[in-house]
Amino acid sequence: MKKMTPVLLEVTGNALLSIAEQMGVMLTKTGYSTNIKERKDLSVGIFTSKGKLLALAQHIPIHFSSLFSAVEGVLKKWDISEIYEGDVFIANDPYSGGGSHLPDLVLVKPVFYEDELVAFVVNIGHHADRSRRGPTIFDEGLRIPIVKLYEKSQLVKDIYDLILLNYQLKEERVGDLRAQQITNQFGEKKVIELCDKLGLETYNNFCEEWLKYGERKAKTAISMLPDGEYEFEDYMDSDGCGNVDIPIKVKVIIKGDKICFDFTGSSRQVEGPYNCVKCALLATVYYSVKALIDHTIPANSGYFDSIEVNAPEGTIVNAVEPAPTFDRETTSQRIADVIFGAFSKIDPKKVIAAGNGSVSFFSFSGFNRRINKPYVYVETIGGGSGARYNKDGLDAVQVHMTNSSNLPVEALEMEYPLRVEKYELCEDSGGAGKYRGGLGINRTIRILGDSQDTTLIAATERIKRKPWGLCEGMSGATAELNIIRNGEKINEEGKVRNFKLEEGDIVELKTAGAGGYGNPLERGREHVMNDFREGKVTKEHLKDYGFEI
Amino acid sequence: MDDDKNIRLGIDVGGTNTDICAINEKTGKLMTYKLPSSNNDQSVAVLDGIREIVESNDLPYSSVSRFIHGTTAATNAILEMRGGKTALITTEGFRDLLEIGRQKRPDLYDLQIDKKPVLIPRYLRFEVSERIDYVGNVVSELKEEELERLANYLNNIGVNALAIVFLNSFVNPIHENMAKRVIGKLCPEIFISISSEVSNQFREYERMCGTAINSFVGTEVQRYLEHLESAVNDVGISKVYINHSNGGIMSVHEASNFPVKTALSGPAAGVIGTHFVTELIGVSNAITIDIGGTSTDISLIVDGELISSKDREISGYPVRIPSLDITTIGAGGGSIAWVDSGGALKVGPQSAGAEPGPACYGKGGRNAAITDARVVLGHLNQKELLAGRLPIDADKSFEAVKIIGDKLNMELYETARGIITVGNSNIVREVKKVTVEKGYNPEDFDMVAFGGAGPLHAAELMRELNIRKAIIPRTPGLLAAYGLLTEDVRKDFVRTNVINIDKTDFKSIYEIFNELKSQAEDWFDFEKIPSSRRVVRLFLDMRYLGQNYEIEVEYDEDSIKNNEDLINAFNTKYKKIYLYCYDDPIQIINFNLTAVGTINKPNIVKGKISGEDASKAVIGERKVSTDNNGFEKYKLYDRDKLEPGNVVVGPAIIEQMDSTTIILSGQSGKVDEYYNIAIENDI
Repeated sequence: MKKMTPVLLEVTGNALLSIAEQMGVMLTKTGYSTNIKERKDLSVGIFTSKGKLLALAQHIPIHFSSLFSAVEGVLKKWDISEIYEGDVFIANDPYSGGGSHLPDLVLVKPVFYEDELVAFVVNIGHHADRSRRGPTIFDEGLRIPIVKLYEKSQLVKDIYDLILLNYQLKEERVGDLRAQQITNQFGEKKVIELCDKLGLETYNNFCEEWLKYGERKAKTAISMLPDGEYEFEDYMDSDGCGNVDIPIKVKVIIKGDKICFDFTGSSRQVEGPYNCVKCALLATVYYSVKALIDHTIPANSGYFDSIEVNAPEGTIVNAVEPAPTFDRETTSQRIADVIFGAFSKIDPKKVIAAGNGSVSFFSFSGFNRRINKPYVYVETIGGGSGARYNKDGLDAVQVHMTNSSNLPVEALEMEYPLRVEKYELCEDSGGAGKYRGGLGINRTIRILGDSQDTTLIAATERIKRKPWGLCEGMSGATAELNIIRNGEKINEEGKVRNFKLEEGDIVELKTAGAGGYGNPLERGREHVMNDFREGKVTKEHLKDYGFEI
Repeated sequence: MDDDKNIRLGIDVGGTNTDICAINEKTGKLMTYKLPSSNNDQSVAVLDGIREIVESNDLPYSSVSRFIHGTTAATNAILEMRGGKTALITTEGFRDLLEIGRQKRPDLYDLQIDKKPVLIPRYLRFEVSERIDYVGNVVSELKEEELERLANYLNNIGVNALAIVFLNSFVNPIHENMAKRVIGKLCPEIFISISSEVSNQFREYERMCGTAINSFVGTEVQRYLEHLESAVNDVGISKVYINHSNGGIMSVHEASNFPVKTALSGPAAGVIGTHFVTELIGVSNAITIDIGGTSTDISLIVDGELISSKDREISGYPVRIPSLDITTIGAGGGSIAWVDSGGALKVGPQSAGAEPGPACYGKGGRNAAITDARVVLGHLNQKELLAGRLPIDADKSFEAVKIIGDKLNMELYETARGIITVGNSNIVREVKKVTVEKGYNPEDFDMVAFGGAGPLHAAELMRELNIRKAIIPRTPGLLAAYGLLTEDVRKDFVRTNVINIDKTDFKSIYEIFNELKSQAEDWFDFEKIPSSRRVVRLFLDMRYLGQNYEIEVEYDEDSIKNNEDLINAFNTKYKKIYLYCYDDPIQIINFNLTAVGTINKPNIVKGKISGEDASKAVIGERKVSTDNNGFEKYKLYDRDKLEPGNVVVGPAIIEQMDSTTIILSGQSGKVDEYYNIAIENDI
């Protein structure tokens, strides 16, 4: 066995990350649907045989929840002796393990070396098929418990057929699943090569030391924080089903090198699709801690296991069956907001003000008469990011738990019977402050005559509750969803489901801005004037900065 | 070609040095010169360099047949955000597209990171009411009065450059052309570029960004190039060419209109140089690795051809303009070693750069860089480098490495080796990513290592990557200037035209190519390229219907005669990259034509093969620390004394003015008839 020096540790960690990265490249390139190829709604992880995460190549932080719970689920459901070389497990279910909402299909492949289980390679892709929402998880689509899709390299065809039958865009699903399968095969081969190079004993020793390294980095960073208890509470506007002002609450308890997040006091689970299962909550906490205390901590279980999380069962942050979970990511955005809020009490310089706090999206589906086929177009839209203690917030970006890119307007118009009328910044949406909050986005879509039976699902948050500022910084502007027919707004809510649209209807989604930081009166005159000249702050809002024209 | 004009001159301007290579096209005699770059006005060093090489070699200026220039004028203007006062005109509702981009934040976790600054401020971004749909129909007419009003306003506020980008202009550029005409007439002083000319492809953000960059740097680059051309003409050199990002050269006229095409040309010339070398010696698959002080550029040669990409970034801004596919990472001789809070050894991406440089430069640098680790181990000369022009203070290297070792509780030499191993692992990780992206396995490639530091790393990297052979070119530190001498005149024509193959008559595909061909002929005529030297190659960017990544397939007119041939060609290529293919319908997205005006390659004279014995070149030996904490004696060679046919048996160190090559124990390096060294593992 080779001695595990800091050099071998770093080099091997790099090699594993390299494998995860290459798998990510493979999935992006071989993926079939727009959502996977263009929007990169996918992630990849490599785990130890005991289910500990070693390396993560992620594009979307919330995905970690599915990767993690799928591997955990496999190990819970199968004895090691029943896991064979050539097996592939598939899952999507938040309650039986393997997901945080149903569109994310996760594929797990055990890796064997010299007949010993040495790792799991795992990847997840968001399958943007017809989205369904309803009062329970049973209304949201096919639930796939962790099952073997392949056993000893043989496709379990019954399972495969059963799954495919439940999807509308079959070609996409076949193509994406195949890409996921190829990606894991590739990862398996590379992990075996690594074991070949290191020898099994050194590999196992590395895994252990690598996790300890993650733990060490996390504990070092945690112990720099002052001991104490820090609370914060914020509210979601609504769940779209009549529940409004839904509280999310956290108490962060720091003692020495230990940190605990307690979510007692958060709302009970709701009828709308906004419930997070435990793994989604954990993914949010892990994201937040990494961003807040040391963004160089390697994403591995050594780091994760040094964090304690308490959340009462049956709440919106730790839901139990049959709560619907489709749009859990929006809730996870608010969870990140409250964690950041609690940390602002430790030191506001460590955090940023509240951002757009939502995964604002619309999903148009219908029948495309140009090609006589059904279509689904899903888009998530970024918004403002919070101001920082030393500079303005970012305009028009995805925040916290998501970072998906948009679909280019020209690609969209080529593919779907829709026209984009606007894609622009929302003026005045950044909260005033010594440093201004980021601006939200307006994306406006017109339904063309080639779209038949068009229905819309859309949602945004922070329509009522503004994104908060810090240290006397003002709040950012709220979000809006407007469905306009013949010049008149025809919707009331900011969340709509199965809304029938007609030719010529216009759907305008304006996402929230973000909070400012510091007293706006202290903002330098040249910055205020520059924002004014840029039209990011209009005449009406100059008064926030103590100016008049 | 005039008989007395037989000197070809290549000048490559880099951040630190301006490198010059001149070759006598008949005798193959190579002349080189290096001088510090003049960063305020690149032309000062360029003109000094021309004078120096011409006069010191006793050449009349009139003997220069062509002068080929690799310039970073546009690149630097973007890096330093030095541009003209630039405005944008776009479709109503989309002026913020330049700022929103793909709406991604640059890093998932780093809360302090910022987006790249927007090249054109919002108050200079204007919208006009016009709209063209996805098939090119005009949905809403562009009005001349609106343009005239804007033109007057632009004049009033003193704008000196303008980018015009309308949605779907790649299908129908009518509104962009009209806007250029109307505004150009009223604003003759303004540098105008339109997206359908700069980058005629779909995906509006990338097209807008490329067009904005083109205008942003346009006035400055135009001024520089025109000034340089006239200064060079004045001394009697009439043919001036500019290197572009896709591994070819273009006229000053073309470069002045499309300066963005030079933005990624810096590393391209070096890759062209390696390509020339690999062609000479018959290597068809190679990974080229160019390691300098702060960065490493990686690219591939596959089946004897360089790979182009339309998906590149310059300083974080996307530019969808055909360019050699080169990946850059922050790893080089100056990369700094450090210990993180968890006790791991990290190297880079921070670099000591040229100032203060590694600790051993004695210019105040205290951090241990990779170069310092090499000094400690004995890989590098512990007294001087660059033929004595760079004194080395080895004690400073020992001090700096020891500080790292103490933190890790590791012995000095072990630390130094660790720094190199970790630094190499960063490069290895990137090489793997680059090759897998293209669907290849690095083990199937040879390596060409160049740049000042490439030859130091080659032997180690080939072991890590399981590569059989690494080639060290004759002038690893001057390969870019050398590459310029070998380039053809080249222009790439691209047109997005979305076609579903199963619903299209083959003839219409052919016709689109015919239109592109006639554009290419016009260009050949304009550039006065004789018909015997005109070469045209055709490519299609294709994908399965519903996908969003295209792959490039060569459209060989002799073998592709119908739709089925085309489908087969696509599936074969797809399968090569992704291991499988589908039965799905296939779309053509882009039609590409590469027009090349070939230029005679310089005549490279072969050396006479002498025996394997390289002992004549031995100039000493050096103790080098090795894995078992012992020392091994490395023989030290002078590269200039090595003869073709010589075999240098490892362990050995080969010094030359612009680089140092290491050959490890168990490897040997054979000098070929062109004076390249091929390092191979002994069997």
